[in-house]
Order: sequence, then structure tokens, then C-alpha cells
Amino acid sequence: MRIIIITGFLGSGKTTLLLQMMRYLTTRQKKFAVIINEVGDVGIDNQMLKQVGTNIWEVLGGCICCSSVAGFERALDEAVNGYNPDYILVEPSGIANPGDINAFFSRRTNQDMDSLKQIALVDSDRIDLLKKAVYPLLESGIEVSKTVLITKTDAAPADRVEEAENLVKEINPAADLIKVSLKTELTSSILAELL
Amino acid sequence: MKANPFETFAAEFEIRPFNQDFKTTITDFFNAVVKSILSYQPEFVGHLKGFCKGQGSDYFQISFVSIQTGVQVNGHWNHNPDSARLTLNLIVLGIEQSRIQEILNEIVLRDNFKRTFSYSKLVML
Repeated sequence: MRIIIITGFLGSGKTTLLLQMMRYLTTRQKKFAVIINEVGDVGIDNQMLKQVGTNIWEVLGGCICCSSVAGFERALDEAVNGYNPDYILVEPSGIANPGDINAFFSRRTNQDMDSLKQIALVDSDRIDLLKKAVYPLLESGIEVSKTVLITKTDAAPADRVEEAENLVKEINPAADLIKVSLKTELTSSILAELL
Repeated sequence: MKANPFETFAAEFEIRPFNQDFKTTITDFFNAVVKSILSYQPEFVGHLKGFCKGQGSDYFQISFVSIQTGVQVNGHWNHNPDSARLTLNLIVLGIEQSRIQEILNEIVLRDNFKRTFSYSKLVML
């Protein structure tokens, strides 16, 4: 079983990427579970995902990196033991700390995991605002991720895309960096690489 | 200092469109919310999102994160029920929750929305 964690600040394109991954896995007849986390008790993305897919576990009312760790643990156990999927796709809330999620998995010892992959999404269109308002979250996400997707390259001016790219290279030079728009479907080769 | 400095606000509305389809009704309302929120010049908009579930697999998802990308609407709507529920989830930095509630209260009472929208749930997070 592979666990894929998609992190990124609010509005960076996590749910859009998740939907593309779900479609990709469905067409390849892979068995997958989705764990979606929202900070509020009344979520949006969980409702939408439930409209388009099954095997969705919701962790609402707090971040899985801190106040909702127990709920996350429960959802993960249910997905692993009750469903035994090939993949578990996890979308933490947009204000979750990716470093804490990484630490959670390094503490967890008993899962039948083949691999764990953390993917960070960086919104190039709002890179200046993100650096100003939520730098620790941005830095943490880039730092612990194997792959970083710079998103909204179609909407952002070239200098902002470059700024995002430089930031990623500065924080995590070893990360695989992919620039995408997410407005259009990712190619199969990119999705295969991400999964 | 709060660990999460963003103000998070959620509300649910019962919608009964009048002389308009659901998509236009929801989009008009959401545009009014976005315009009002932006008029208070928040430091940062995390996201403004709405979700409306219809019959069967029908749904609309509407969102705003920046002026550059504007309001985005996704989903499909094939049936025509009398009413539906709209969930609104607003995460912003720089506007207090009480102000966000005032903004929504004011919009719901506007002539073009008051017979269409009614609160069914308010959640301060």
C-alpha cells in the first residue's frame, strides 16, 4: 500500500490534484481510499468528493497535524484494515503543518506501507502573499516533500513562477520540481510519477 | 497569539430560487459575498468557498482565492428541485468573525436575496 499526502496552503489546488489522481487510479482499476481533512465542522471539499467518489473518510473540525490527530489515526486504521487499498490519498487541511504530518508517520510503526510520499503544492500566483503570511507552513511543506508542484503557472506572471521556483530550490534542492497549471488534466506520465 | 491566525467561518443556507436558476442564484450571491469581503481589505484571503448539493449527483462548487483567478464554478445541475442547501466556508486573515457575520447578514437581507436565501446553520470555527 502506498500513502500519498498532498499538502499545500488553502487554494493551492490540492483538491483539483486529488480529483485527477482519483480519475487516473479509477481508469487503471486501482483500489484507493481518500482521507480528507477540513479545519471546520462544516466542510466543502469533503461534500464535493463524496459527490464524485466513494471510499472517502472525513476528518473534520481540526487539523490532522494537531487537534485532530486521533481522528486521523482512526480514519487511517479504518481505511487500511477495512478496505485494504493499493493507495491511500490524504488531503490535509490547507492550514495543516506538513512537517507535523511527516512526524506523525515517522512515529507510526505498524502499518503495511510500501511507501509514503509527501507532495507539496506551491501556489505561484500568490507566492508573495504566502511568503508574507504563512512562511513557516510553506517552508515546512517544501522541506519534507519529495516532490513539489508549482501550481497556477497559467495565471501567475513569469516572475512569480520564477520566485516560487527559486524558493523551492533554496529550501529543498533535492526535491523534484514540476510546474503545472492544474486547469487542464496532468499528463499520465506526471500522474504516474506523483503516485 | 492564536496558532491559526485565520478567521474561519461557515454557514449553511436554504435556497429557494425565484425567477432564476440555481446556478445564477448561487453565483450572484457568492459574487456579492466576495465583493463585500474584499471591500474590507483583508490581509489575505485563504479561500472563500461554497458548495450546493442538488438531487442525485447534481452539485455546484464555487470558489474564490484571488482576483487574478476570479470566481470559479464547477459541477453540474440536471434536476430542478424547489430548494437546496448551500454551504459557505470563508477563511480570511484580517477581518474578524463578527464582521464576516455582519457582511452575510447584510447580504441576506438585500432585496434581491431576502426571499431566496435563509440561514439554516451558522458555525464560528
